[in-house]
Amino acid sequence: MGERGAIDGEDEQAGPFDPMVDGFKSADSVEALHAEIGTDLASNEAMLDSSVRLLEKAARGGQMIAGLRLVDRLLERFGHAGPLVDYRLRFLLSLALWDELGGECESAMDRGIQSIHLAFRVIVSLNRLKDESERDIGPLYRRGLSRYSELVAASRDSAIWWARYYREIGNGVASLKCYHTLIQPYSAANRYAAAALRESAELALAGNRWGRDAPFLLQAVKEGVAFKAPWRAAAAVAALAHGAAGARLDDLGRLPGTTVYSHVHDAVGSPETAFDYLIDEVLPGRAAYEPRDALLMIGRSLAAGGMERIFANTYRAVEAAGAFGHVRMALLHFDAPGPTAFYLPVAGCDPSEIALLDSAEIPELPVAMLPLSLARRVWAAYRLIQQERPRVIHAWNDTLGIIAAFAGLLAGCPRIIVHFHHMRAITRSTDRTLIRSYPSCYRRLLERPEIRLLFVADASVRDHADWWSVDPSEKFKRLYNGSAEMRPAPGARETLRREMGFAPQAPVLGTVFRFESVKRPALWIEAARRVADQLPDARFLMVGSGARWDDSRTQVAALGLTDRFHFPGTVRNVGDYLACMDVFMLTSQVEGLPNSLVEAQLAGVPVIATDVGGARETFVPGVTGRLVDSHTPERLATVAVDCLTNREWRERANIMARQAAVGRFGIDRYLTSLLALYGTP
Amino acid sequence: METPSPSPAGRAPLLLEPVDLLLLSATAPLSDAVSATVCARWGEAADLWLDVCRQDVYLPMAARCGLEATLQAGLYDLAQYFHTRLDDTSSLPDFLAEPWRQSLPIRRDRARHHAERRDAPLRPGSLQVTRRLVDLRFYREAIGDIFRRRLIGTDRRAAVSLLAECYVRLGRHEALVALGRSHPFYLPGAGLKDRVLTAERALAREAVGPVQCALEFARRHPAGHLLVPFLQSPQLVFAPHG
Repeated sequence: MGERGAIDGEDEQAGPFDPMVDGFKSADSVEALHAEIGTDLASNEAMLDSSVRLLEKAARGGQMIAGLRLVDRLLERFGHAGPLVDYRLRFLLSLALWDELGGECESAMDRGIQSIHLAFRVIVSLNRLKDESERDIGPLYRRGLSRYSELVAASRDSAIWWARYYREIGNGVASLKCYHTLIQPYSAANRYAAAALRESAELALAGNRWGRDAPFLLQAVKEGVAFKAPWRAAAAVAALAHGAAGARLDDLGRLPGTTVYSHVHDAVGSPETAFDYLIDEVLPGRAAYEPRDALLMIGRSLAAGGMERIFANTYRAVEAAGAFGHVRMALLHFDAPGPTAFYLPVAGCDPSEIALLDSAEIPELPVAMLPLSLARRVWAAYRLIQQERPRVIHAWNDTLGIIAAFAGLLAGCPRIIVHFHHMRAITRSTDRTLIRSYPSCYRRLLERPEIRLLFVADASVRDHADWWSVDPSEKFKRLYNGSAEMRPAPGARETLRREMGFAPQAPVLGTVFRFESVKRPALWIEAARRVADQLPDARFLMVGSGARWDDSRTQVAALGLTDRFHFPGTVRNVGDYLACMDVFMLTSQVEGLPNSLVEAQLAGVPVIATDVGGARETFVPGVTGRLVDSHTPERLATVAVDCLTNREWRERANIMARQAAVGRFGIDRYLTSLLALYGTP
Repeated sequence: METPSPSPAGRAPLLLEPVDLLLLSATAPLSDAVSATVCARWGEAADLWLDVCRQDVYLPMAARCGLEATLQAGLYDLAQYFHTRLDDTSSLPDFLAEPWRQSLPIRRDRARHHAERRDAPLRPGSLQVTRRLVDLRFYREAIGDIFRRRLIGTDRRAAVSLLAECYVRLGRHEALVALGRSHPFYLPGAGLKDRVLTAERALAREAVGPVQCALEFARRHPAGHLLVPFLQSPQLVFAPHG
């Protein structure tokens, strides 16, 4: 095994999952291949080499279950011979059978790994296990890496093996650096260099910084490398050509008389270049379509969350208003019944009418220039918009805005509204490479008359304008969210308090939020502890759920306050729980326009909030709530005790809070303003 | 294997001998980022520190160094990201405070530029537009502008000067040296000679390898103390290709 195909990299090319290939191909027939494998095995039972070819066929064809069945049969017959363990690891890795995978790696290590291929597979598997398994595989990983390092050091093609290692663990920069040593200077006659060029170009193609990686991509194109996803390669070449304004790439790629790249391509990256290409080369001269009387609302999901609740409410209100002949909803994530359909009853739409933004089709230019994570969603949105021809697209938040704006402009939609519900997303996004690109993408979008940007708070307007280094032009509009009045069920306060074990007159400090770090539940509990010290009758109500929910309960238990706290989890009757509270407190680190503060006031509950984002825009400081500058538990507790013990202020605030909230955040005012933005008569 | 220099007084000793060749945190290209900062490859350092940021354990160091690199390279959009990742944004360390302060009026100018750009397309052949991009520290964009509009054929001396300035600020040392070699006639007039010499020194410094770069970073860089705990870890490793 160690000598077989040692440098051609074919094994590694058929990795566990390749988003460029596997993500777009149709499913093969597992059963058909298994039948074929079974037949061949019966007739060539003693021939290990023949069996290995079948295993390779299974791996390349994505027939992981069939392959695993076959390799297990072969292992029974031949023992741990040849490449069988390697193939078993590949299949287990692809099938994400983490426990079995860990055991197999350990067993391979105990037997003593002699093959560089097997050592490679072991550390790749263990690296995945680090993230996916609860097992502590640290010592095993170090052992495997040490063995791999020894084998690579003894190999004459060590650079390519380190390149593959870095590629597999996700360090593309280090990987390309290793590959670079093999292709500089490039000689097609050198098979090490040929393998390195193919692999490095594929790696560069899968990334988003095509300008930085232009030497690999252009060389591969020049050498006629057969890419696994030719559509993607064509997109990269088009992007580089766009960056060079159509001139010969080689002329512009290198400084005159040198082999040094001029950096002219460095600015070529996705998605920025895709937006440049769309706006500079595709849209000029293209007319908008003849729209139907339809609205397309594009959101993330209908999961439990403040923005999702507003999204669902808005859908229902707009549809009920009859302003459009048809209102269609499209989501990134939706599966009913399930967590992503939590607010489906609020939206009140037929689940079969909800479009899911995902596509198995191969996207065409210019969509193909977008990062892989976006391309198929934009393509799905584009197809949907072509079909629906909406008069208005209303997209919720930054990533959905990118998707909707690109697809909408390409299709020819005359009005596209991107609705931002947070402060700048750069501290929270899961995809930082996209966050890096957002300012330039949105700056380009501001050039288009079709685009309108809507923000939930003045603070959010200022924050995004600052981030993008633009003046908040006439395209930046602020629209406060609208909420229906919170009307608790009759007797809800008394009933729920009794069920929770809270005395009728006990002062109750409460909150409603997702238990996430950004909401700082630990700070909330620390402040509550100080309130508890000063007010022996006080009780605490924390509504919601999330990643920090268990930690929060543990923290309360450690403080010995379990009997004074109540954690109902995620509830549908939020109004009933708000009715149980005397004061509402929010301790967030970052907020756009906190809906929970609005809804607390609509329920007549005065609020306390840290002075972040648009929190101060949700209430009248000193009258319907208190703003806290210093984000310490001591200061929060002082203010909370003050509010909880000042009955006269609370009673006045109760009335004022409701009135002020209805005036500023009522659903009627919101809907009227929104329909005007839609251009609805 | 390189031998570490004696530790400076007042600093914890650095464990570098032997350096483990296995980079357990290889998903974060730490040693490359450190080398890029030491060698003033600011554009590259910005991207690398962004990758390093993925691992929280390096965040305090990566936020500082990423902010430094982005401010030096004029990558102000990305600088915003690093700025928000600092543990305390109310008072910046000295090495960041001044460039951050300097960036504020330029960012305001950029806002005007973006508004004007929508109304006034580029005039072909004019280097004024490129000069404006350089003043706004859009170095990558300025380089692209010079090459795309073939300005190097319009006013070679001015174009070479602008290119050199961009390469210096981005830390594109090879490109600067190559520019000096391909345009020796312009070396004195454009003040290019000193810049090329500086770039050659930066390349020589990089040639000492990642371990020496890390040592220099730990000793001299204002955020160097944040690297020391990782150098002391027996699990730390440098990329074998270095």
